[in-house]
Order: sequence, then C-alpha cells, then structure tokens
Amino acid sequence: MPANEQVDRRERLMSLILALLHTEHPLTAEQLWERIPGYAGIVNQPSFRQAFERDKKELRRHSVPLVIETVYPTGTPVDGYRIDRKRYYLNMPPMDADELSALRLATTLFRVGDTSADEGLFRLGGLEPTAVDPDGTVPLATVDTVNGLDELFTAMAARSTVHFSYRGIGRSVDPLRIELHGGRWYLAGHDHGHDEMRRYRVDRLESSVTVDPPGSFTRDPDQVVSGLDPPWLYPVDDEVTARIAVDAGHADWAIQQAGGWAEVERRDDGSVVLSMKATNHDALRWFVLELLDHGELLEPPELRQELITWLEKLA
Amino acid sequence: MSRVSASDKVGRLLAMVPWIAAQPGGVSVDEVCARFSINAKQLRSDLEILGMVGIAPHSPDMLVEVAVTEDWVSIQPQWFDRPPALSAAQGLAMLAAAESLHGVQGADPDGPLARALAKVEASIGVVVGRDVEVDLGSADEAVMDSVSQAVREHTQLVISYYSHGSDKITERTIEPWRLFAANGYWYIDAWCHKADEVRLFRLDRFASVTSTGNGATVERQTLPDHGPDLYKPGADDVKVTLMIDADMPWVPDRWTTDSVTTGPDGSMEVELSVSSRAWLERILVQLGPRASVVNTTDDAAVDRSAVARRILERYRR
Repeated sequence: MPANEQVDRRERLMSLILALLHTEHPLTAEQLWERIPGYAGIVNQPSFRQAFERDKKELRRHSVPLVIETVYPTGTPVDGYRIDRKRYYLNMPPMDADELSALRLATTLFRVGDTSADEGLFRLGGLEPTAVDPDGTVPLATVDTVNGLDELFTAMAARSTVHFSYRGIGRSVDPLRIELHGGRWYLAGHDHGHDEMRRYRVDRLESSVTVDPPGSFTRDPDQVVSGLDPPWLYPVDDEVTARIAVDAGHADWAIQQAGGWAEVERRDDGSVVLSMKATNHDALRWFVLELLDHGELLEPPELRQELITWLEKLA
Repeated sequence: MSRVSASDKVGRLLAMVPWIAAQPGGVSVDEVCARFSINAKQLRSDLEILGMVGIAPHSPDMLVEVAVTEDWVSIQPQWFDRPPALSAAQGLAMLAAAESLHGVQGADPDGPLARALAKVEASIGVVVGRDVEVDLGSADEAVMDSVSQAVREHTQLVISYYSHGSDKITERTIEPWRLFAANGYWYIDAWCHKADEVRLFRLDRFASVTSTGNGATVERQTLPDHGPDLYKPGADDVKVTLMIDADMPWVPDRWTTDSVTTGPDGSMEVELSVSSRAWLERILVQLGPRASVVNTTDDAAVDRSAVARRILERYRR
C-alpha cells in the first residue's frame, strides 16, 4: 500500500543513514540487508538491490557523503559503505537569531534555484521570524540554476579538478570562480589544455561534469581571477586605446554604458571623450554604433577608418 | 507557505531533528511547524517514524527517544545531534542572495547579514568576491540608491531617461513602485507622469536622477509578474525575419525572439516582433553587411542606409 511504503521508506532511509554514520567499519550490502528493518523484510536479492540503489540515490540527492571502500569480510573483495562523519555534519558556529533572520530575508528577496535556500536555512536552524513578512515579499530577482552548476561549485570548494566537454573539445579545468553576469552562469578556471585562465558558460557545457577527488589541485592564495570583462575586452584582437567623443545630451547615458571601464574627459560644451582599452574590435564597433550619431570614434585611426568603410557599405 | 516539495521530507527531518534535540526541555509543536514549514499532522507522522529508527539490534534503549504530546515535542540527543552540512546548491543560493542584497542595500560589515555570510563562507571554504561573483545587472550606485529609496519611501523622482527604441532622452517625473532584476538588468515598474500610466524602466538607461522632494501622489496598484520575457510584443508590432551570418552568434542572446533557426553553416534566421523602426535600424547598422531583413510584415522598407548616412556625416565634418 502506497501510504505504508512511504512510512517505511522514511524509517528505512533514516535507519540507513544512522547505521552508516555510526559504524566504525564500512558495512557491506549484506550486512545492511540484515540490520536495517526496512530491508530485512525484503525476501529476494534483486528486490533488495533495487531498494538499496534507490536509497543510495536519495542519499546522494541530499548530498550525504557516502564513502565506498573495498572490504574482505570473507576473503573476497566487496563494497563496504559508510558516511564520512567529518563531511556529513555541519561545521559552523551556530547562527544568532538576527543572522538567521537576515539570511532568510536575503534568500526571500533573491531566489537562486527553487527550494535550495529554504533547505539550507533548515540546516542552520529553520526559518527565523523576520521583521518583514516573507510570504508577502516580492522577490527582487529570481535566478535559475543550470545543470552542472552544483558540481562545479562543490568542486571549486573542494579544490577538485573537473572534466567536461565544451565547444566539441574535452577540457580539464581547475575551477576557481563561479560568476553570474548578464543572466548567465560562468565558470572561470585554469584550463590544463591551454595552460591559461579560461571562462566557460555553464549552460553551454556539452557533457556532464566529472570531478576528481578533493585536493587534486592547490590554489595559489595570491592569484586573482579578474572579473568578467565587457565584450570589447574579450581577448580577440590586439589591444588598442579607443577615444570616443559623445555629445553633451547623451554623455551621461554613454558613461553609464561604458560601465566604469572608460576614463572620462569633460569638455566645456558638456560633451565628453571616453578613453577605453579594447581587445575586441567588433565589440568596440558595436559599442560605438550604439551611440548612433551622438558618438564618434576618434582614435585609433585604423579602427576609425574601418568604421567609416563599414558605414559606407551600408549607406 | 512551504516552498519544500513532498519528496524532501527526509532532508527536512535530518535538519529538524538536531534542532529539536538542541532545545533544552523540548519545544512547542507550533514553533517547529513555523520554523520548518511543516504542518502538525506531517510533523507527528515524521516523529512517529523517528521513534522507530535505531541501530541494530534495535533493543528499546537503542532507539531514538522522542516524546511528543498535544503541543510539545522533545528528542533525546543521542543520534542526529548535529545538522548536515550545507550542500553546494544551498550554499550557493545563500551566498548569491547575501551578496546581491549587499549590492542593492550596501554592506554593513558588522551587520547580521555580513556575519551570517562570513559563517557560511567559512563552513563551505569559499570567499564571496574572490570565488563567487553575482552581478544581477549594471546600474549606477547612485541611481540604485535613489530608486530603492523612492520605492521604500513612496516618493517621486525626476529622471532623464534614454529611450532606446526611439533614441530620445526625455525628462520624466516618476513614482517607482517595484524594483527587480531579470535577465541581467535592473528594472523598475514606475508610474510615469508624462505617460500617465505605469511604465517599465531599465536602470542602466537613466542618464540622471533627482528627488523632487515630494511624496508619491498616485496610489500603487498590484502589478502582475512580468514573466521571463520583459518585452511584450504589441498589437502594432511588425514581424521581421533577419538573416545573420555565422560569425556573430552572440547577438540574439538577449533579444525576445519568436524563433531562432541555426543553419548548418552557422548562420541564423531570427524572427522577432519589433515595435520601433528606429530600434531595428540601429541593430541593422550594428550587425552591418552580415545581416539583412529577409521578410517583414511592414510595407514600408526599413531604411538602414539613412541611419548609416546620418552617422557618416559626423565622420566627414
């Protein structure tokens, strides 16, 4: 009967976790079959195996750190299971009520994924009352997660090298940074194949992510991974310093668009000249044309001429 | 009330049991239910199960001790005495949320959120800023401050706003109602006195903003969710099909398109609804010779060359 099965399943899972947490030695599937009430009632091997596989999957879903080691109870090697106590338990000083409350409010205003934040809050002490009614609060932003993101984040925290396919090529990467920008998730890390820092869009990974054991790379504490650049700074072309004149009426808006990447010279008539480095000439042209006839690319002369030729072809 | 799915009962139990066990003398059923988004019936059912969990050989003294009355519950802290560690998904959700809120409200390093964030960072072994960066949209700090204050305090602002579609900067008096981020940009829904209706504004298009010093005069209405596509095609929109060459695949990413079909050579056919001819002409100039309009429901031709000539005049002065 479905209701009973559900009741048994909860008890079975909790008993399984309890057994695997508190055992001194890895337990084999046979031993679990005998000891866990939810399994002992199962008569035949295939049914037990099926139930055990389902339960292991459930444990993984809850991020329970299941460890599998080879043991020799009767001389022949078999899998032995236990939960890594050190990694299972929360290692954190308790949250004060105001800290928990602040965290709850933040995760109500900014939702990443669907239920993860609440599940996390449960582990930290539950939903602490907040000054503002969370149920009545409209989120400021809801961000979807993407496949692979959790594995990459875990790998980054554990210093595990990851492997995945991207643009048709297999990559081995030391994950250093997870970024959200322009509504997209990115991984920045050291690409072994190219022996340099690379950035990948997580929603464009072409395979699932495989993860090496923790500590498979060491991180240089002084290494700085620079933030996501604007399109005109993607490393495509030779670096140039561009100077762009913008009319007074559109100066403030243009400065906003340059987003802090430009030095600004203000002229007496209110117009400005923006100076910015660019390593992607196509993206620079896109930026300049965004300004329509309110902006003009003054330098460098080669790119200015290229832009004129571009416009002449369309005129 | 609960955002937790039914299948997460065990996950919730693993978190809930250590907390109940840590309350000296136990805790009220009501408080457990509020804290863990659970109703009393489900709680009793889960606790009943818990009473049967134990280690082989399951003699009574090995079982988890649970005492539950009509309105009180206590658990003997023998097993599950500490909650599980945060998972990657949970940790990331919290770090991203905390960093985002700091970005909007400013970060008080001694405040409760900063302290909570530091604890989460330390337990996961990740540092926000260095290892995780969440940028919901670029918006000038001063603009963000003014706008969020106006939303909170129900006040008026005068803004100089660049209307992208019509390539015009206009001054407007607005009353911000709702601030939100979507698709990598910050937006507000605000009452616009110039349009005499609610309008959507993108914060990175604010050329300037000042407070009028006045309170809002229009009563706020409940606004529907915008949904994933912030651009809503209007009845008068023209449907356009563009053909874009292979080497510019990053372009249509943030447009609201009806369809994008990629050919074997990498070129793209993009169908979209366009409300502003000026917008389309600018896009065509930016895309350049690598793009063309192959179909349009508008009889009047889109005049890319006129825009190109207008811009060229600057270069010929």
